[in-house]
Amino acid sequence: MLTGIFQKLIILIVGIVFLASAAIIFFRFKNVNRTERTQIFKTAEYFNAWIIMLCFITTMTYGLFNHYELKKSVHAIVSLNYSEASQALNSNGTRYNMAEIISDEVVDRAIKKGALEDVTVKQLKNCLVVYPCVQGGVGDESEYHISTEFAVEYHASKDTNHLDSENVIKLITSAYKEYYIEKYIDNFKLDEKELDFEKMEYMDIVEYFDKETKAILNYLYGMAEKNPSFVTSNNSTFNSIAGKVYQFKETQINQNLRSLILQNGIVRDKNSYIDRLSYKNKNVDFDRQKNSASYNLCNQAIDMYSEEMTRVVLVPTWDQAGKYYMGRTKVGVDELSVLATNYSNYVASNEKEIMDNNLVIEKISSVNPDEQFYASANSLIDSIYASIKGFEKEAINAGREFSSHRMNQCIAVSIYGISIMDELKTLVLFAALTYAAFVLCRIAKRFPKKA
Amino acid sequence: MEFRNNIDEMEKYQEQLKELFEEIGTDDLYDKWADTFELERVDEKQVLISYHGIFSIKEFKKECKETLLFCIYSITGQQKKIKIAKKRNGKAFSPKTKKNIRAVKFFVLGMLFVCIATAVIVVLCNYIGNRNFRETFYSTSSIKVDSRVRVIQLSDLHKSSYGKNNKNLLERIEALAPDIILCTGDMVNSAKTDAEFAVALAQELAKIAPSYYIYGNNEVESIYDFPLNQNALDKKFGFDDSNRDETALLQIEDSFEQKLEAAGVKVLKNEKDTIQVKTMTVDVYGVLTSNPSSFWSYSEKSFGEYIGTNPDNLKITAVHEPFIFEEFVPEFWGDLMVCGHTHGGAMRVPVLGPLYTHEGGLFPERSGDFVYGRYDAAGKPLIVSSGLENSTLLRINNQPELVVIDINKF
Repeated sequence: MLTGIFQKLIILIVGIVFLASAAIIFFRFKNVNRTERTQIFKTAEYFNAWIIMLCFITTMTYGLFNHYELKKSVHAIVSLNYSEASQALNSNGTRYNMAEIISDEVVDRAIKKGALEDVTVKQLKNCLVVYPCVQGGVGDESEYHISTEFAVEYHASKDTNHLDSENVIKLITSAYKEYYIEKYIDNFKLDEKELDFEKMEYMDIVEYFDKETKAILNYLYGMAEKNPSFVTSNNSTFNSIAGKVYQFKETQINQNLRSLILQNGIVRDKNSYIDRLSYKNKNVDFDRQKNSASYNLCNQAIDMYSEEMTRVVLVPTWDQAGKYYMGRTKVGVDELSVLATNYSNYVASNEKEIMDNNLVIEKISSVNPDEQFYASANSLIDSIYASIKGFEKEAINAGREFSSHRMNQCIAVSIYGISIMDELKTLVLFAALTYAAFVLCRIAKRFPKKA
Repeated sequence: MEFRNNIDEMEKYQEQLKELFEEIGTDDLYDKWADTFELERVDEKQVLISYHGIFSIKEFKKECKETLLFCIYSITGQQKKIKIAKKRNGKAFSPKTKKNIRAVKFFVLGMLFVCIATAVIVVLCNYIGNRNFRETFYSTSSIKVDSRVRVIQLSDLHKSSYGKNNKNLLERIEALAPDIILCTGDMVNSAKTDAEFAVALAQELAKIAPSYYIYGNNEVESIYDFPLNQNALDKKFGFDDSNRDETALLQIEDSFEQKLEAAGVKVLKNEKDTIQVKTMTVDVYGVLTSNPSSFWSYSEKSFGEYIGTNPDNLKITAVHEPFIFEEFVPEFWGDLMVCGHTHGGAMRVPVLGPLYTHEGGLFPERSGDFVYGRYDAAGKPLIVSSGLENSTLLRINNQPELVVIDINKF
């Protein structure tokens, strides 16, 4: 605080000397004739040792205070390095908001992270400013600009003077990075729920395994779409891991486990499971009937359509390049035919499900399996479950490696403290002003008060 | 009327002056002084005469001034003052030049004084500033961690104190809630005389978080009576390439280690320790033989085991001196490396960087030495601390630091 006062005081004194000298010269200008005036300026001592020394001391003192003042202000540039940033979006597609950089949550995190003492979120927030590095304009389309770089400035206040400015900005930007990744990116977590397979029906376990592997596959395909060429530290790609998982799903789950259970009619509670499947079949059959009725209705509607109305309608339109072409528009009959196809597919799917369930019921009813089949099924389930967990871990690790690779680049932060060159420039400018002020003061003394 | 016309005019005056001097003055006066002066300049009010004789100028003035005054009056027809100056290097200094010389002398001396005063003020300001330490935050990432692991590094304390019994330092460490504390050597000046200080600090650190102590050159010098380079170690134990035993050095009795371990701090001498931090397993390896000549020969087995086993564990390598990282480029040093020793180059010059280290000489960073800050060692971060020592006067623009490293998931 004191340094700021002293710094301003020095500038004020030099400024007053400069202005007062200039004013004296201006007012006494008429007291001397042109020759005398020339003589005064010609014979003035421009390189006086005292002036140089005084100027040096003043500049050094100012430099010292200026240095301490500048140390209180730092700024950082937060750069968003993901593709969605150019559309002002977060990496998950939501709207980007630069104010989050200095939001209460981020500032609070920074305070906790750095164990900053004697400062509140409000006090620290008051010292922070955030703005886009390139502002752009609204007047003309060519002036529009979506900034992907944001400057965060920190200027210490009376309440935060005791904090190290560089540390504060480091903590703020680092807390923001953590916050951003947590909120917008890092959502993939391990499924840690433990299942009790002994209480589950064997076919339900097969369905569960099928769903689990599908979830892993979906995750891997999704990641592969983002970056198909990414190679993990184990030299795997998302597609290669997905290939392994798919193969496993087809052979171990669908062929080995499912067929073992179906072939041998392995079931924990035969009657209850048959009842469940029968009830399920009834429900599916209702759906099948509804879908079949809808299919028939769509076909009837298509038949009722007048022939003239089903003809192709061409509408003049233009493409993106502005060229005209004749476009075919959809008419009501098109919509009805699409619906009919869909209902037909639903019916087929319902019928397949009913057939599958009937097959299971038939197998379970007709076969009384030995204990050894139960033992092999249980052991196969354990090994498949262990393998699925292994794949899950492998997929997550690959995802984390990718995220780590991507995240470390997604937000880049550069911190700028005091620039020595800027400080030197200020000092040179100040020295020049001080020297001019002192020389002017000396010259002003040579102008007589009266003509 | 201006008399400073040209060379011809001056020569005319000179001739006239010499003639008159001969006429007016006595023969003795003429013989003694005639060739010792010259007329340099004739102004409106004064005349400048340069003197270059072997007698003193004072004597010349005493004997000749009146005669010269009369001569000048006779030549110019005006009463003028006479200035007599001693002629140097073939030219006489005018009073104005003399005044300028005095001004330059004054200026140079004045500037010298101001510079010295500035230097003294800067040194004193830094010395006072160095009574407090600053906290330097580093962030790094590793896929091996699920949540943030915070490592606090203390280095090169050299028995300095921040508050009574390092109260201020310990309070800040506690507030920063570290998961691991690493003391990377030279915490004391001598392990023999300063053991009490180290033990007191170790006791407090152990209360805050799992703490490790790695010896620096100061501890090593006072514990072992020989340097820890390969030649000295081989000589001491009678080893050569065929029969070298890494464990021989570790079997030497070390009461300092016993005291520290009793205080709750684990001393790592070419060994690793594995701890659980939240849900993560962390391996910490401390290097004792940090001299590049003895590093591989006396720690290859233990270091290899540390690096080679449990690759999923987070690996932190702590060493006092950064020389092995400068010298060798293996595939993997660990997920994080920390060291000290350099004191940040004693003085840090803006733009040019650290000024001096014992091993690297002047501007050591320019020759590729690791002196201060964050570097890359086999693709992973290496943090070189400038240490916490605060008793040196010449520690400029290099405030003692407490290093806080956050290892994040991203």
